[in-house]
Amino acid sequence: MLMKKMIRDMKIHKAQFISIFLMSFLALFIYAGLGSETAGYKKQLKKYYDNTHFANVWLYSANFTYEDESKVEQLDEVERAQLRLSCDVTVQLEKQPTMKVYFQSENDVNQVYVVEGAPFDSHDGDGIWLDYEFAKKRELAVADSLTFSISTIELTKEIKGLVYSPEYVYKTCANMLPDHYMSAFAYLSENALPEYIPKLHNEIILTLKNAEETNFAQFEDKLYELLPENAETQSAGLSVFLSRENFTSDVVFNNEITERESMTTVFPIAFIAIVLLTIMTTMTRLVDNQRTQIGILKAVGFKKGRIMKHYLLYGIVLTFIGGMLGAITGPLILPPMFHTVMKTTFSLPVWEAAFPYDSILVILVCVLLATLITFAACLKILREVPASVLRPKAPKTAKLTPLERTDFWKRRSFTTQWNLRDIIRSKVRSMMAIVGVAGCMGLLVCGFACLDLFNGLISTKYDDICKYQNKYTFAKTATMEQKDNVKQMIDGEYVMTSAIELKYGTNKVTTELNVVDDISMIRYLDMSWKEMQLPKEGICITKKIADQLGVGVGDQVRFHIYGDSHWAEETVTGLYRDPAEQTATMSIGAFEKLGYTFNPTEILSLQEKQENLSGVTTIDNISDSRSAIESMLETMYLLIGVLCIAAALLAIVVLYNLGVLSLAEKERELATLKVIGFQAGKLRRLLLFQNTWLTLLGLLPGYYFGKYILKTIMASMGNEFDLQLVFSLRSILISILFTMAISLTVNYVFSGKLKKIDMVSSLKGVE
Amino acid sequence: MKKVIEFKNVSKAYQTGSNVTYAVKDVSFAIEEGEFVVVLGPSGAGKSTILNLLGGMDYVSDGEIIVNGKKISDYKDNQLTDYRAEDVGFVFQFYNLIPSLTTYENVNLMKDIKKTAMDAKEVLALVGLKEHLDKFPTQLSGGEQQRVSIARAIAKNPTMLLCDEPTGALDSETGIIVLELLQKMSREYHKTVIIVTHNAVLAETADKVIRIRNGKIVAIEKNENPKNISEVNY
Repeated sequence: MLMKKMIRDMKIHKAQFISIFLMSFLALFIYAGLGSETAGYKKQLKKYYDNTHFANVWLYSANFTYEDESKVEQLDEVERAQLRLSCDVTVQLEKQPTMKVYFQSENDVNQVYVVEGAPFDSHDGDGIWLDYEFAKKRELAVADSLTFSISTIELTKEIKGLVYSPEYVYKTCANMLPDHYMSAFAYLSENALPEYIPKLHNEIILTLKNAEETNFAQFEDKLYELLPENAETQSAGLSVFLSRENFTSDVVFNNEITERESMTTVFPIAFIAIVLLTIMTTMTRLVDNQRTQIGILKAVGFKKGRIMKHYLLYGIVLTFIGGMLGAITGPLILPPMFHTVMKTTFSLPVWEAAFPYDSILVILVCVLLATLITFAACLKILREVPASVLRPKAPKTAKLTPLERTDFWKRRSFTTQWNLRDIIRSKVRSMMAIVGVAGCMGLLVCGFACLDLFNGLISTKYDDICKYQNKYTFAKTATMEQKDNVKQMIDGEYVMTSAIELKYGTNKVTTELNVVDDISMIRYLDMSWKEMQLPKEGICITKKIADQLGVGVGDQVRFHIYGDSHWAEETVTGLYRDPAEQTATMSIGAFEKLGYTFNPTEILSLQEKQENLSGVTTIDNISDSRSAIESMLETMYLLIGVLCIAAALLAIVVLYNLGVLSLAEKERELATLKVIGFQAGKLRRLLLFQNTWLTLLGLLPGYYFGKYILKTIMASMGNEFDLQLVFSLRSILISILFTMAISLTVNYVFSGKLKKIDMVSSLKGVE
Repeated sequence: MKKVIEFKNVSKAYQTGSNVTYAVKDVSFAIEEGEFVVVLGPSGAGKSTILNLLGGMDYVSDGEIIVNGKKISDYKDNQLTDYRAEDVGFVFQFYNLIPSLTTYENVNLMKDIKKTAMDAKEVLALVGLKEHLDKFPTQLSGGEQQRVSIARAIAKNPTMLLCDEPTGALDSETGIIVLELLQKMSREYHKTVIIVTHNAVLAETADKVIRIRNGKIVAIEKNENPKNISEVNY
């Protein structure tokens, strides 16, 4: 019987109960949906890495010997080690894409994941196992042949397999989006190399038995000791030690996961807070209204526990069903949507969501909190004796606050007085309205500010920093004569970039060093993003790197170029900022003073693109890069659309709900005012006044809430970005207008309900 | 004396399914300025319907209602609101004060409706409540709340005071105080006061008694010498 009562009660208070249901549904939908996405990546990545024996450490040298490899393999920490030879080649296809090829005689570490074709054969000298994404873009299939050139040597191999590699979950690229058309990787047997090419193994890759417990700093030192330069064996010695934590592909993907995770937690918290607030207001009111009914139930002999159970069930049933439904549908609907976006940036063999088991915990917490809140609301009434419960509740007593005694207060209009008192007396309801509006505003601010952020990034990078039209990258084999020719033809400016490892104390950062002189096509920005000149002496680094290293101007840092084990020491003489790339810069003079020779790797030009320049491998056109990034913005627009809908839904549910609540509570009062002779318009303004004030009060906390979410997201964006958090007036205005519009629309709906208030019946006896 | 209120063959019908039931049928009466009128009848007789129609809260099915020469039975929603604001001072059984406003503010509220409303302090002094200006309704007794409600009604200087069982929720002692106040309004300030009640005792105090039963007027009696409230055995 009580069950029937519950269902009927829910019908009467459907707006509140639907919103409890909807909010707990949404909270879990988003939480479990996004959670299953990230949990899925983690699970797939672990499986992928484990199955392919993804390396924990990469060792680089000019030449490693077989003895070096066996020495490494015999270390206690090491599980597997593998020697290989890697080099950059040019593929003989349209536009001459670059390809990284690996020659190996074993297949123990970093095994390829074959999508099509035969498994990798380390003895097959005729085959090539090619990047699947590249093959798709180039419409290459198994059994096709592929020709590529290593400097002057041309090799043609048959494609035996199309593969994914754990080393290429994220393909490093000039722009932020990988270009599968222009860059590729491939794995071959060492037998594929012609006899006459000296087999200079420049890499040892290894997996560890227990990576979690390995102290990498100690392990690194140990390896440097183990693999010194040795003229006798012709070993060039270890020059670079790279652990998985610094391996770009893994770092970028993990950053992306962390970024998602931080979003996953922030949004549902807002929704859950609203579920709880709705339950609190609804249940308190329901229990208050049913005071007499509770008295009757008690009087006829229902036990306290039974009645309590009955009321607790309302909250439990709705949050549980809503939550479960969200937890089930979220993982089914959200991950595939995000996977399509993620696939443009990352390459994984399997895209699958994993059910986030912690969402069950979240549901349980929601249900528990809902129960506690309802319990608190019921307790007071159940404690009273049936006789007193049967009488109507004694109204709240009130006294004038000092403010209300002032002349200032007395001069306020009735509307102000009435509304202010109403706001003060129903604190929970008012708080809830503010929270709802703040949530809406916060989501919008966050969404639009994200857009501002990216637009800012693009314009800083491409309007303020990069002034060139085209960037030509020289082939490694290009001679100085060829380079000088190109320089003359396109009237360019030389840049030398090389990967370096920067160290200060125990802190180290892997980055790119640009060596330039009097460059006009790249500008440098100071701490407040204004143009500046870099000093000619010493080394200049970006602020972000300085922060990571913990250095400032005047500190001594050590660095070495990858492929060269010599460490140089230099003073930091300047800091600059770059939103998308963190680099170090030196002048040619300062660079050569350290004993290096300046050998340009790139040339920048203001002129139109010129194809087929001898000695040039790739050309990056600035507007192409720019539009590649801008295409990423389109996904942003989609996300902002979703955010706007979520924000609107949040505000509508909360405000509508509160409207229903307050209308029900004030029905008698409003009917009285109507009878006395208030025109409908005046009553509408009365309610509008309160709504507007509460909305206005919610805007500021909403702004800070949005800022907070954005900061959380930004903090998880990884070290490559140095973004300036700007909120454009336009974005804030749009957010405010949108929020106000929703608030006013909801209010307008209620003015219709005002007309329906029945004066006659609402003036009759007390309930 | 001038007729201020006139009911001419007024009927109010309710349709439930195919049945038409009359709450009041063919009711005619007139009330003069300053009269103290009691509309008397058992529950279900149609008293409230008459009150609702006269108070401008409901529409007639048939007939005419004329107040101060205005044919309010033809009025639309907005006009009725103005009529209520202008001409009717309501006194309800359950007072219906605004709980979040103080005594003073509840009465002063009338200034928002009618510019010419009387000063709230003055009116509250008139009903003997000038000591309680800053109290909220919940801090007052039932009798006091009803006096605030009367003060609120007369503050806007209406054509009539329309009282629905004004003592229904009060004990006899406070009931007498409230009724005396209403009688005083009629006798000393020449307000037209209409009390709708089932309490037959009040009939002796009225200038005019309209008795209704089953939606029809049974009798209209005029008392040449109405008793004072204190004289009747309430």
